Formats: sequence, C-alpha cells, structure tokens
Amino acid sequence: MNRRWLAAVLVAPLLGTTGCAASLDIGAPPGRVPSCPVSGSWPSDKDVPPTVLMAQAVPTASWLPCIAALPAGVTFESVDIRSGRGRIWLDSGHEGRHAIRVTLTQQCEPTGVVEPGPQPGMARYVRADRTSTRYRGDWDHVFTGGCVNYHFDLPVKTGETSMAAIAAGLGFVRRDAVAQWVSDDSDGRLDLDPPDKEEGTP
Amino acid sequence: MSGVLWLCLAVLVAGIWVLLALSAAARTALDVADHAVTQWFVDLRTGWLTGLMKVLAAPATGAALQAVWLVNLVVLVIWRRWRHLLVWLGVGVAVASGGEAIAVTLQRPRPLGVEILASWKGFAMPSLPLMVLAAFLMCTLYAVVPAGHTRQYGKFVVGVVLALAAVARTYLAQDNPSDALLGVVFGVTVPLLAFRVLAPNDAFPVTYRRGRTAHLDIDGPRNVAIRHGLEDQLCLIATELQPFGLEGSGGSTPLRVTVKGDPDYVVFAKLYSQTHLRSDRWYKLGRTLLYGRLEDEKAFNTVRRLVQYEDYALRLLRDADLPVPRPYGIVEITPEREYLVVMEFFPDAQEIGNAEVDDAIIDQGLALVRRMWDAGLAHRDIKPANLLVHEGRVVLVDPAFAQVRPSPWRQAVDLANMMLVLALRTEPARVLARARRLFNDAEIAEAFAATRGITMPSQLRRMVRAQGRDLHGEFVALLPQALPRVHVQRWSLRRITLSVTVIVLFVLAVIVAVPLVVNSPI
Repeated sequence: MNRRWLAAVLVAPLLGTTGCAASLDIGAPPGRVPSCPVSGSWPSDKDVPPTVLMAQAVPTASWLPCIAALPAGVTFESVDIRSGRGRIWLDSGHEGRHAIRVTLTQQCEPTGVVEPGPQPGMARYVRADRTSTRYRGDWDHVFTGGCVNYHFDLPVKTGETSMAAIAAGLGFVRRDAVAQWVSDDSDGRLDLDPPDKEEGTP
Repeated sequence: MSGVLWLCLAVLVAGIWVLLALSAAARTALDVADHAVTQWFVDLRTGWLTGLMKVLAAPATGAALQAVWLVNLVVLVIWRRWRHLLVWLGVGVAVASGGEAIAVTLQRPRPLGVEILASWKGFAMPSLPLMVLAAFLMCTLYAVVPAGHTRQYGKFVVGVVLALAAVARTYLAQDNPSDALLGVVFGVTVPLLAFRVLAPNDAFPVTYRRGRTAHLDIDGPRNVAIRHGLEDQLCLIATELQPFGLEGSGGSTPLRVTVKGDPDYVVFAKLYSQTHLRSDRWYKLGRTLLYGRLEDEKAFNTVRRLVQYEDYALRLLRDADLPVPRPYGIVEITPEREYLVVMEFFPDAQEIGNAEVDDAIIDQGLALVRRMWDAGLAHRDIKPANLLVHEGRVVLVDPAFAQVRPSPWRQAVDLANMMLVLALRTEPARVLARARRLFNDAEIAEAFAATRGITMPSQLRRMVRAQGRDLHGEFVALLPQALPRVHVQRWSLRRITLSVTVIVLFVLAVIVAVPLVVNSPI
C-alpha cells in the first residue's frame, strides 16, 4: 500500500465522520426532543440540553417551551435555536412537514382573542383563519420576559381538533427548573445564568 | 509530516467527542474547566476591549465566510482549477454539515453562567464558525496560494487570524474555549489532508502562468522521470526538455526534447496524462451531445490505450507511404497515468498556414489525401497546425484521430478540409484546378456537401473567418455540379438518453450550486 492510499484510508473515516450527515442544504440530524419534566424531573438527562440552549437564547424568558406528549401522527422534527430565538418544528403525518412551529422570543406583538394561558401569569392570544381548505393561525403565549408563539397550518376539516390535541401535548417549563437542573448536574459548580441576573427578569 | 501531526490531533479530537457523547461525567468536567477559563476572560471585560473583540471575531461570521468562499470560487473558476474547486466544495460541505451533525449529537450548551455578548446559533461543540473559518482559510491556502514562501507566510497569517478569532469568541462567550480549540483542529485537518491526498501540489500545482490547464508542469520530479524514461526505454539521453507549441495543443503537453548525439538532435514528444484522457472524454461527449455520434466518438478508457493508438496511427500512416514524422516509440512515465509518445522533429518546418504555398505544395497536399483514400484511411483533423512544410515537402502530423476504413463521408471531409487549408494561402480556383487532376467532380462536390461547421476543425474555421471570406461558398460556386448538404446531426437513443441525463445533472448542479453561492455557510 503506497503512502497516498494509506493517507486516503486514514482520512476516509474522518471525512466520513464529518460528512455522514452532509446534505445538499447543509442540514443536520434532528437532535433530541426538548422534553418537559414529568413530576418535576426529566425522563432523561439527554432531553434537557435543548431546553438549556433555549434558555440561553432568550435569557429573559421565565418560561420555556417543551414537548410533553404529542398526539399520534404528530412528530418532533427539529429545533433551531439561536441568540434571541428558539424554535421547535413539528411534523404531522396528515398535515405534512413543519405543520406546527413553536417559537420563543423575548417579545411579540400579540393580537386576537385573549384567553387565560396554560400556566400561571401567562396570557394566550388566539387568532385563526379558515379558508376553504386550510385552518391557519397563531397562538401567542405572553409571560414575563418572553413570548411563545404556536403557528399552525392544518387542513380545515380536522384543524381545530388537531390543534387542540397538539397544544395539549406541548408544554412549558419554568426557567428556574432548568437552572436547578444545571446546578444539580454540575454538583453546584455551574449556573445557567450570570450571577448578577435574577431568574426570569430582563 | 505536519499532515500526520494534524491527523493525529484530529483523531484525538474525535476521541474526545466520542468520550463526551458517552460520558456525562466527562461533559460536566469539561463544562467546569471551560467555565473557569471563560470566567477569566469575562473578568477582563471592558467597553473598549469588547469592541475590539467583536472586530477580531468578525472573520468567523456568516458574511465573512461567504466572502472568502465567493472570492475563492471566482479565482478558481477564472483559472479553471476545477480539481481544486471540487476539493474545496467537498471540504466545505463536509466540514459545515459534519460540524453541525457533531454539534447536534453532542448537544453542548453555550458557556454557562456568563453573559453572551454576541450572536450565536445552535449547539456549541464544536464551534462551527471557527471550524468553517479554519477550513475555508486552509482551502484558500491550498487552492489559491502558490506553494513555497507565499504559502508558508499564509499559514502564519491564518494561524494568527484563527487564534485571535478564537480568543475573541471566548471573550464574548460565544464559544467555550474547548469548542473553539477542537473546532479549529478539525477545521484545519480536513482540508489539509483532503488537498494533500486529492490535489497534491506535485500533480496539481497552484500557478498563475498563462497556458491551458491541460498542459502539465514539466519541472521537478516529472522532468527527472521523463529523462529517465527516455534513456531507459528508448535509449535517448535528453539534455534539454522544453514545452513546444503549447498554444496549438489542448489535448496533450507537447515537448521539444534535445537528445545527446553526434551532433545533438531534437525529437518531438507528446506527454499524455489522465487529465488529457478526461479532456478527450469531455470533447467526445460534447460532440456526441451536439451532433450525435459522428463515427468513432467512443472515448479511450486508459491513457495507455490513448498513446498506443497515436503511436499505432503514426506507424500505419508511415507504412502507407504518407509523409509523417518517424515514430520513436512510447515512454511510460507513470504506469497507467502518464505516457510520452516520441517522434521525429522538423526543426525548420512551418505550419502550412504561414508557409509559401505553390502548386507543388498544393499537389502534395492533395496527393496526401488521395493516398489516404487509397489506403483506406482518414486523418480526421486536417487543419493548418497539422500540415507542416519542411524543406519544400508537406508533412502530416498529429494522427491521434486517424481512422482505418472510414466512411466515404469521413474521407470526403478530409478532402474538403485539405482544399480549404490550401486555399487559405492561394485561391479556390487554383486549388480546384489542381484537385481535378486527382479527384473527379463528383468526389469534390461530395466533399463540399459533407463539409461545413463542425466537420471543419476549429482552427481552420477561425482562420477562414479571419480572412473575412466564405471560402466554402467560393468553392461551391466554382464546382461544375453541386450536391445537397449532408446533414451531420445524428439522432439515436444513446444521444437522447445522454442529453436528458446531462440536462438533469445540470439542473441538479444548479440546485446544489445556488444555495452554496447564495447562502451563508454557517
């Protein structure tokens, strides 16, 4: 085996490692589901990092979106988290790819009918449009230091009931619960937020 | 040596990633260690230093990386350095998407417990912006910067830029220190090894000299190999190797070789490599797509077969008493990769397009075609560059496209092209009058019915155009009889399938290329 072949054999696994998920749109695997804690603790420690990152994306948010139990046919697609915004994409077997989008931001401009939110101190603004074929709309959840928007685009026939089931499967976790997990996971050596910042405040 | 070092580092980095993916304790330990370093940087934060760090971190932003990529793309396209471009693209896609895949797998948060002062995206390990920056800068060094002092200096500059960007991103808490370090190691290693393996400098040097990309550099190790080959295989001791007539040759690298003797003499050699084989394939594919299969458009599948065919054709024409250079044989430079075809050199010969053409030259040119017809041969590339006038004698060179037992159409094309070449320096009427002594009117009429556009070599077409004359039309007007044009378009299932495949591939390439050009790489 000459040197060039030897080098190729050594390089191939490296390129394979980096290129295994290569796709034309420079995508990546979906990653772990940002799960909600059950009875105060997460099913697996591996489910927390997306929520930690979400908390870092919007350092003011007192609540963070998570997934509790999605109805049959609705699946987690991916997260897209960057400074200032965290997003969760859901697919629906019937309604298609990216049928539901959950977005956390620091602020939003909610409109629509106000309802009590699913968590204390949270208000939900609901607006929906029906066309002959589609049921589209946004639910904005406004709370201290943040806003979580559910955007959906579903078939008109089943849209309303589907959205109610999906919303029931989505949830919120308090920021201090995530901060507590970070602290516990590092035996108290690390914190989620800088020391001079109070949780859930801008 | 440095490649092996970087490879070892990259393997170590991959090992660390595997450990982090498997061990929560390792993750926590690294988080704590990183936090200590990050906190040290955070304690240094001041207004002016933060402003400076934002500037130093700027190379690792989407806009800057896109600018690096686009500049490289333009340079590589202008200089037609396709091999480098392909490796560049491969490395870019592999590093960007591979880095993202690793980040999603490891799911490491951004620096904990500190305020992040600049924008970020996605999980932190490895630092995708620094990894891609390292890869892009290394690609730039190996694809755009010539080897030698310039590249060595470039490596120093790249090192400084990466170090400053890594420090700045750590200061701004965009990355943990280990995210930055491991990202840079991987980002350097992948392009370094990819270019050294897939586009080594010896075979694909980065130069900005003029010349066709098909021409090989005959300096360095290749020069030595050619000299050894000539001596060992043909008993020719070369004292000097010089590129010769590069402007007239796209299919090989022509050389003028001075050979030791009493006195010294010169031979002509054509160096063929896989690059030329690929050129031959693309040329024939292009012709098949544009015109259908114009006889024998099948490409050669090895360099050895390509040179064997040229040497064989030369000997065949010589055996048929045609005035061609004396063949010396073939020299194997690198088995199956590079070969040299060696033949007689005519030191004072002139291309027929530059020589004085009298009746004797016209007669020799026409007799040459007559002889090929009688011997059942066609040259298939009759043009001024392939007809030399040496001591009042016409010599036919470059028989690489020659064909045995060609169709009458192909033979007719040879005749018309020869008459057009001869008329470039004389008059159609004079050439026609001489031609009628060797060919009948029907044969000449058929020749001009068969010859137009693609069937004329591009050099001949260019020279005719440069004269501002319609030589073909002048000949046809002089002919006692005219025949309807022979159509060259040949439709077959193969051509249709090939055309559809090429169109589909082109569309796919555009679909792939547009996001690569328009979108930020991170």
